[in-house]
Amino acid sequence: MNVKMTLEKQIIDDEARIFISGNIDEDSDFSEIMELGVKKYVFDFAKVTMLNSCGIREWILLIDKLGENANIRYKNCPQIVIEQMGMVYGFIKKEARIESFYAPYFCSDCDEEQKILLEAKDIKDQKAPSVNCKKCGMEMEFDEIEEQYFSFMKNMEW
Amino acid sequence: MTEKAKVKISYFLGKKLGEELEFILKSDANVQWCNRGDPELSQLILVDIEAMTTDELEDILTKHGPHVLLVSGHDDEYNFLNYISRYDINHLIGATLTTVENEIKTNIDLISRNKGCTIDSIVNPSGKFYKAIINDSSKVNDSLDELINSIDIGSFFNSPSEYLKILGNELVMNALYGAACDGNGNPLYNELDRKVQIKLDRNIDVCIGIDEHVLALSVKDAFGTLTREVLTKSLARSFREKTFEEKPGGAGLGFFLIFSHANQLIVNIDSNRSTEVICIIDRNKRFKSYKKRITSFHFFAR
Repeated sequence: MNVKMTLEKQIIDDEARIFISGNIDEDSDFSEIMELGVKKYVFDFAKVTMLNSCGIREWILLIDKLGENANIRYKNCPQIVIEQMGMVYGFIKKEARIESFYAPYFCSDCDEEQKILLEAKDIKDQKAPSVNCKKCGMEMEFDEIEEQYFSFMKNMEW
Repeated sequence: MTEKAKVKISYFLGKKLGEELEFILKSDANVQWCNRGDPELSQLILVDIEAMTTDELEDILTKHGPHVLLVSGHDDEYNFLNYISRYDINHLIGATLTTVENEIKTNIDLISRNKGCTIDSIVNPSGKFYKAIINDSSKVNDSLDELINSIDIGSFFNSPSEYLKILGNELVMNALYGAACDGNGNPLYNELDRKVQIKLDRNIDVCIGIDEHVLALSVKDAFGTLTREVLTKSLARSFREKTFEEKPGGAGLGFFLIFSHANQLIVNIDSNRSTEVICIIDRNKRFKSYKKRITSFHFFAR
């Protein structure tokens, strides 16, 4: 089923937590985010199912409108979104951070890939942290190209 | 009976091989290896960038670009900006050792027989094919979701469906809004806001083919208006600027996402009749192998 984008908002003091579900595409309307008038925006991407080229444009325009100094946090970014953030400029402005995101790991013993939620603060020198298999407990191998996958980190000030 | 043509290569991708690699062609192609031969007498020139000097490469690409199959180990951005958009070459093969030999064979065969490349040329007849027809922009994602959810992908890395979905969405939206022209060849919807829904009177054919080697997605329009110049300009801009284009219509990033997420991008144009764009993802259990693959580009026009 085609999943139109929906936004669920929680406002706590001067912070808006925005849970995005569905496809971010040409039909995505972010005007209600613009009307929130808060200083900090926490975007949860866990339920984003697709981000196409027009969706990328709509998103970057939103980030531009929120202003250079808007405090923006991204949480639970799916793998394909992280890849697109690394390919296209404009997702991460001066005060923006990706806090957590999914990454692929591979367990040779189980012959299986697992998506692991990583915290950006655990990535040092663009090296993936060690993760053990949830099933067999053996250490898994990071199944992406570290330099490429963590390229978004270069745009974040810590 | 004509003897089948052979290409004998004693080294490949800069490495001396213990045994000669021999590409036995299905047809009688006259294939020259790099600058060892007379290009005027050759139907095709198979060029390994590591087997030539920069000057030799420049010379052969400038003079004989359309007849060259270039094998490159550089990354996608380098390949696109320095070879595909700079020279008039139609075939760049990513030098990924597990796939390169088969890809060279397939393309020499297709080019020498003057055949375009269709999804049937890529996927074994014993593979599985899944088809859909789309002509309404409001039904693109529903139709693609239904098609992708119906396929049996088999042993693969964890998320090929996510990549198929984005590839399908970009290709079908390009075909719907970018390909349609009026009787004078003027684009009908290219500058239309993509929020505005349209319905074409000609169908877009979508096909997913799967065999033991590849997952292939084909999107074919019935207009044939895409040109190499439009395609390469769009991609070159995206590779250089890495942001959306400020223009009416699409964001100008569609082909960039397609090229970046596909292992092979194949464009097959029958001018003013049809354009078929095929994206290939090699069968891989490991996601890293999929991402490491240097993207190949093949352009066929009639």
